[in-house]
Amino acid sequence: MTAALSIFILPPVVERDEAMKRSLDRAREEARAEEREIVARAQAGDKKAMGELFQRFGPGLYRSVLLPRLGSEASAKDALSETYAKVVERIHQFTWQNVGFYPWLRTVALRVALDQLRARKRLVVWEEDDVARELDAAATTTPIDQQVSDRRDREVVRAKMERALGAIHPRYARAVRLRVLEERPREEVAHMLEVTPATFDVLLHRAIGALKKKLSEDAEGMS
Amino acid sequence: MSSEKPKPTWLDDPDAPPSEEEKIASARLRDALEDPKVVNADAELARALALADEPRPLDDAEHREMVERAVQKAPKAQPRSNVIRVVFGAATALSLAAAAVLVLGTLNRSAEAPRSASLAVAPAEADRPGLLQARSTQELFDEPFAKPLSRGAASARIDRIAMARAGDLRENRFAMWGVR
Repeated sequence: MTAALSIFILPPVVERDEAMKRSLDRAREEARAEEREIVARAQAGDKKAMGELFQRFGPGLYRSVLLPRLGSEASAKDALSETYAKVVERIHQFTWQNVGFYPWLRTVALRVALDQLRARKRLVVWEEDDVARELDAAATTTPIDQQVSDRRDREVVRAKMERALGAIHPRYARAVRLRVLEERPREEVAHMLEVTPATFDVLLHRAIGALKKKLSEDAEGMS
Repeated sequence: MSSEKPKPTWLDDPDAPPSEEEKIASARLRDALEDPKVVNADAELARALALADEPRPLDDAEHREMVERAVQKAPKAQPRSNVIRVVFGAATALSLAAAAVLVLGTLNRSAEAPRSASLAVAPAEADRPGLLQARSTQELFDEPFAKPLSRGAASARIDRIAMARAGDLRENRFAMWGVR
């Protein structure tokens, strides 16, 4: 019965999937061709095309690459402006490979972020060496491996956060999640953790200290 | 026996009574978290964590301004029509100059032309010993062509001459360069 059904049901399903895949591939190719044309115009000095590229990729770059690595909105905005300036200056050096414009733009942004991290000695979630390693990877991988996306960047950030939180005392991790990540009011979190607000302040201070220590250890271990 | 690294004592008891120093640092962190203008390293790390976990999108208007600023600094594209005009202008000027040189050169040569045309066409290099001279092609046809002449036989004759003279030219060049 199942075998008989599969004869009638499976082929149309497979055909539908293949048709969908073909249509997706076609759409992707068209988008790539359009992107390539915009890049070519920007390289020829078309300011409108340059602006179009920034509008298309800038917000994702800011949110998934610069903000998590630099840890402050002001720094990330500065870095994005500097990235744009460098792109304007060097877009003629860009050679089209079949992975689009984003990987190149991301590499430029990572270099800018690395320079900023080197210039200051404050601890953020991303260390100087982390970004240097990412840059090495960007320089040595094949174009296909470089098919990075802001979604993948976000996943990397989340994984790093989870690793750090998983390495500290669960009570500290909970305090950080509730107050810092979920941005709940201090009193509410104190109530949830069954302590007074003043005691919660101490708990959070200790939690941040533990996290800082963990991040420093990770950075030292990797360098 | 555990192989794990020993953890600091304060990690083992998050609810241990705080020291005076800890109380002060905790109050500072609390204030800095309430007011972003207050500078505090722990609060900065806390904000960095929050931004890494849930990065806030960039404000559209602010981003547009940023893009505008960057794009304004981009070098202007050379309009195509201008490029074409410049290229045509340069080509015309060059053509005129070349024509003038040609006309003047021809006039000078005809004024100084020797009586014998053979002298005019024989370059000084041709008289140098060791160089192959222009000569009859007769020797190239000692070997008869197949009879009856097939289609393309005339072309075969020309090919034979061209190959022989190309060889002569090559030999002469090598001789001139001093590499023969």
